[in-house]
Amino acid sequence: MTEKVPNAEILFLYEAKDTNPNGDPDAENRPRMDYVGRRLLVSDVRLKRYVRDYLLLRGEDVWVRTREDGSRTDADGRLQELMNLYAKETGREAGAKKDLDPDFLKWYLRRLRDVRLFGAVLPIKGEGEAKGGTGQFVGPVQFDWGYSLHPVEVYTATLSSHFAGRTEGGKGEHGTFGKDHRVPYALIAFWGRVSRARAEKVGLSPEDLEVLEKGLLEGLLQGATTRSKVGQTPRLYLRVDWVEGFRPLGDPRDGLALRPAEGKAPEAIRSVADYTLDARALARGLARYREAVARVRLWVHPDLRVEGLSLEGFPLEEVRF
Amino acid sequence: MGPPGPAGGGAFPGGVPVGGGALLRALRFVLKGKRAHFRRFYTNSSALTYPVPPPSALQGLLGAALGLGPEYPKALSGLYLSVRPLGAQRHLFQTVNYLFIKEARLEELRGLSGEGRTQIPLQFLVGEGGRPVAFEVWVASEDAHLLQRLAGALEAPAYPLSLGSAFALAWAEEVGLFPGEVVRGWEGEGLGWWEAARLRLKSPPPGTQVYRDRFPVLLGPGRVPRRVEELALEARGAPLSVVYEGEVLHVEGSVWGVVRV
Repeated sequence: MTEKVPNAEILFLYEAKDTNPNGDPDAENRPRMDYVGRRLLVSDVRLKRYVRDYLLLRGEDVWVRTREDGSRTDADGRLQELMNLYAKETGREAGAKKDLDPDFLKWYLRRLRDVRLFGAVLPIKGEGEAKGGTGQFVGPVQFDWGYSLHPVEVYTATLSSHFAGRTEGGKGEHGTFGKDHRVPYALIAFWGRVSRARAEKVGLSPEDLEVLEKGLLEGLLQGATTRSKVGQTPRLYLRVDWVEGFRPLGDPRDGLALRPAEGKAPEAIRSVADYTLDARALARGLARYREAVARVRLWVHPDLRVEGLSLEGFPLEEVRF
Repeated sequence: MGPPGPAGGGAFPGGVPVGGGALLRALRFVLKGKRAHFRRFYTNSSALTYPVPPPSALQGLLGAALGLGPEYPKALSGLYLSVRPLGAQRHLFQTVNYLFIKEARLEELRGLSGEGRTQIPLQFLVGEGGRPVAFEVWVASEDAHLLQRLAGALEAPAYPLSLGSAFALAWAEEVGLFPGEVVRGWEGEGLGWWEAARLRLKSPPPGTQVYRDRFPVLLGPGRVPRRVEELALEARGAPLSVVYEGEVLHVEGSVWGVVRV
């Protein structure tokens, strides 16, 4: 019998050092911040982007991807290529572009791992559906927005460019200035969930979850190589598989406390050596539901000092990375 | 499911219920998460949130807990619902970068269209001081078996719970079942939400914050609101002193304005 995807909780921690983990398009691309709570924020979309880019680097196709060369001709050509590929593989037509065949959508689900993981909204009519009906694949894997486990401040530098900002009409034939907003250091924590029931609807497999793990751990390192994203390192990955249903463990991040090294203020943290992660409350929370836990998968970066993450008595698997 | 509407015979305007109401089971739970977004259905270029989950969102959440699909509005029709915020909350705005979808062309869905993307300000509810955002929810029904199933499902839901948007992960605490009674009419202090047209406030004390808005009560196909009602509630979850002609739930020594879905 094929192994089923479990209901699961995911805790993923990574650090961002002298970088901009997730720019806010409405704030001159400053790092997303909750200025009242003094916490850095990262959207679920940004995290999933790392995974999608990782899938692209593996040679897989993904549904949601950025413009390749900006050409609509190429985009139309790409669609035609996929429809041709579908016809070649199945001997069936994909349908009109605005009214794609439901079997074509099933083919897409098999082809696109990111849809199986994170879902997609496909407002395309299917056979037998009422006019205007949508084909929505709700993602079996959902991440809450990530946030820093400690207060963070943003700093800004001014950049100069040798390239012209604009050259139209002879204007701007000179270098230009720009702002570069970063955070000195942030330990960012994400909480995610995996839904077995939703996995069954889109055909998510246990192997897909293994790729997701790699996409989070390796994808962050592979994807965070641009100037604004460099300096990000995964620090901890924990997945708790439930026997059935979910249990009200709550947000596993509430079980973590970041304790700065002696004499250091929380906002003065600049490296992983400047703090210890206290996970005793998380371990206590997990212990309450020990009987409901089928498996725990764990990876901790060797440089991260973690206290109190006692998992004795749990079926523990080490994530190799 | 139970008969249409309560039997009536409540206390309005005398202040004390005098029987004749529908004896029910009532389910209480506290719904928590780190952020919530219950989109006001009429907003367009900005995604603003209600301060509490609307009746339609609560019905959907209960359906998710039971593992129901699109049939959930029918399976869960007739429930009395009420809610109030627990603890201090504030708003947080973030602008999100959505795909620009107009005709559902594949290029648009892949982010390859000429329009590319559209940026939408998104309003979150978050708890003060890094605490979770929390809501006290009451569900009442004559179907004791259904409420028993719901109580179990909230503690071990089939689908993950969320506070509005799927990414706003949530969980339920303090799940409990109690006897209750729904009657029509009430004069005195009460909690939860109130139909605005049937509500008169009695000398609200300074600091009272009444929120009044059009809430989706039932959704139709495509999540389009099929029934909308104008409801009022105390924005901090404090009791209001009211004269009310609508339906209220008497439970555990308190009175809650309810909406039947």
